[in-house]
Amino acid sequence: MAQMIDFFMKPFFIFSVSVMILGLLRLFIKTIIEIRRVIKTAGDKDFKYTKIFMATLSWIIPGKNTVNTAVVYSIVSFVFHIGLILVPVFLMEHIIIWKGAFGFGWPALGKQAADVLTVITILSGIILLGYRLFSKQRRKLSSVHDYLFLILILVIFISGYFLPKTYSPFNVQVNMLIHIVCGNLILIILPFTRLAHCILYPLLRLASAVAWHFPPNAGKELNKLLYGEENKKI
Amino acid sequence: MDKKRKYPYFIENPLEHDRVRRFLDIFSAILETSNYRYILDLYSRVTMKCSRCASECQIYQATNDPKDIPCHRTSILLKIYKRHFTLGGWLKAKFTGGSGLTEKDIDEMLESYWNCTGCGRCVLYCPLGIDHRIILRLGRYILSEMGIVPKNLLVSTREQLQGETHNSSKVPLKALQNTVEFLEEEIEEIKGVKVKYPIDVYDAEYIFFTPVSDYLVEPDTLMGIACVLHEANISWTIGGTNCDGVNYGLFYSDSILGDVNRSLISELRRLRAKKILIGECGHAYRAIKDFLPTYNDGEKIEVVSIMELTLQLIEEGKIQLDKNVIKEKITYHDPCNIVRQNRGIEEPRKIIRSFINDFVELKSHGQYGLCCGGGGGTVAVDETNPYRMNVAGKMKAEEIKASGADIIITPCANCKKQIGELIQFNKLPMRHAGLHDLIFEAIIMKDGKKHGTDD
Amino acid sequence: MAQIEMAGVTLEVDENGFMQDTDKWTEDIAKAYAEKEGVTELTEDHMKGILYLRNYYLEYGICPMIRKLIKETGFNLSRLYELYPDGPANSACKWAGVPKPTGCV
Repeated sequence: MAQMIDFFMKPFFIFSVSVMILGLLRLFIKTIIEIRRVIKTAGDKDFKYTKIFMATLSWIIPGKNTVNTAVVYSIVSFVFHIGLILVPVFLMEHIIIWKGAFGFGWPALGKQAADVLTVITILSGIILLGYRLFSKQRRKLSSVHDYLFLILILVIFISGYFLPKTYSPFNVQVNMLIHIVCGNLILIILPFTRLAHCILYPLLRLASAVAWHFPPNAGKELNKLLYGEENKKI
Repeated sequence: MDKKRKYPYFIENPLEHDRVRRFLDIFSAILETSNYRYILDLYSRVTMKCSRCASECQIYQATNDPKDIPCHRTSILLKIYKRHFTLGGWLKAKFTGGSGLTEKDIDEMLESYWNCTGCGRCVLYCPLGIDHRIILRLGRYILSEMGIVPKNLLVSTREQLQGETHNSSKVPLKALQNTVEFLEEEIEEIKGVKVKYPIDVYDAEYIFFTPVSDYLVEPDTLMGIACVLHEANISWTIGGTNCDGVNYGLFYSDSILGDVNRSLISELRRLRAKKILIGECGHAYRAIKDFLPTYNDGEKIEVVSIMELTLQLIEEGKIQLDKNVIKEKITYHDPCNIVRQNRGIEEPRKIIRSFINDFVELKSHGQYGLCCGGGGGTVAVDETNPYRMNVAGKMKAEEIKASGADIIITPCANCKKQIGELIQFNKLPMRHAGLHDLIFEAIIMKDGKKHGTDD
Repeated sequence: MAQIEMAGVTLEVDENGFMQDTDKWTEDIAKAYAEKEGVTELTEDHMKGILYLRNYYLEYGICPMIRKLIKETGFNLSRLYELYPDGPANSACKWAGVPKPTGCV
């Protein structure tokens, strides 16, 4: 068991991180290239970049947008994302593992702060899962994946929370294995699932704006392709 | 086999067979000739279906049917895209034996995509910034190329682009001339001033495009606009060959959107006008303001809405409005095609405050205002009136009622029709009006009756 | 396009029942339309509105503004709704045998 844990903490961890970083980077760059290509073919190349940037920002910074209506859901979801980003990246133990694998590290969160954040994330995750399960509208919309993502995240956070505790209800080694296997798993699937929104988010509003800028001859090209002439009879 | 399909709106020549293959052929052709692929890729990669939009969609709020959640509407087309046009979807289908697009999907789309009014309120509330209107419009585009599009929109567009009158309501030039002459007489009778509606005047500063339906049903709006332009001595003209600002392409077709814009540009060039002035109309404003630059071959043409111009003229002191004429309680409805882009919100309010004393806002207003319930071209589809009254416009009607106003102003031909019908349907003790309808009542004409100088 | 029998004549009509071939119109057809909407007798006033609309259409190719109709006939809006139950656009125009306007109206 200890060997397996070692395996998942170093060689496999390097693999997972590489998959994640390369995968996400590929997506990010690919999207930028696509956006640039689309702008090039658009008839109107004028964009209000500042406005788009501010709109993107307005959903990251808590404010009017974040908590507009649907207050509870918005706050819970917002808090959930904060924990989701801060805890994995700034937990002391994680930085130590990272240092062991890649040779460098960064300042860590205080132990208590990390604990509190973890609990908040778990609670908000459970509430979000509850929303998916018990609200008619969300249940209808959710696919199996949506539940699995949330459950995976919850398993990681709950097992992680009990790891350093002396009163852990689980076998320490089993707990550890679950935590790091699931942790590696989520790193690997990040670029290939809808969780990729973590890297694509900054580009989405720009991409949406760009999508309204059509190639000037798209309609005529379509007519030619479908009906053999530029101006078909309506 | 011979069982006729039922459609929720009139269709000219409904395709009875082979709809699935046709849909996919057209979808594929559109992907090939346009830029939709990347946005479909991106959206299907990130959509989390958090359903944050559900609480903001007035249609879902009215029906409580999960089918009406914006995210779900969008997912219908995204699913088809993924299944038929991506490698992943193809592989998945190979392994799991998924059936792909069915007749049922098409039935769902042709209903769902015209139930949504495309107001875009959900877009403002999507944490990820997914623009459901793009997908809605693409879905309608594909369907329309199969011939599935509300008949009135199709017939109107045909007349506008390929008919003799070049406008969506089939108004011949002779009738247009007769109508504006009538309006000139009316203005003279009411205001005591000879005001001209110039048609086909060359080298004017502004060429005026408004929905041609205004010339049939909105005399007060047109008289208000003419008085404002007359008082401020603005040089303007109506296009005799093409006067119509309607562009249903904005709602369902890139091809039509482009063709109508091009025809407006050629009318502007024919008359050597410098700028475009748009009447009281939300979708015409968006279709021209936002999409003209796509089709103008790089030529810069300034586009101004009549609200912007009127406000400017008030601020410059070129027109005077009598503050004591309008005594009723007034409220204001924001057309979604104007305000969702976060513009055109302050102008009407400044105009209103300049001459109306009793003004009250609707509960939702400005960029986040509720849709009238007839947006996205649906109001022009007469036969959907029961749906627009009972579902799409339900929340709006409640909101209007709660305002307690005597008159609701809205500067949009679409919204005027829908709100008028809502008032009638719900028997609300109020009336609706255009912004320039009230300006017409309040504007002080220098040579007008009050001064007694008229001949 | 659907077909219906009106006053002994077969007419092409659109989905809303507006006749398509305006030349086929007769007063009997107007009467038949009115009866369908519960108006059993066409009075002089009824005919005044109908004929005004019809003649305007024949001259200009489109129905006039309701404001003009009101002015020319001297009937106010509520009188028009009394005469034509579904209003000037949906009843009077239909009875006069002129097509329904398209677009945002």
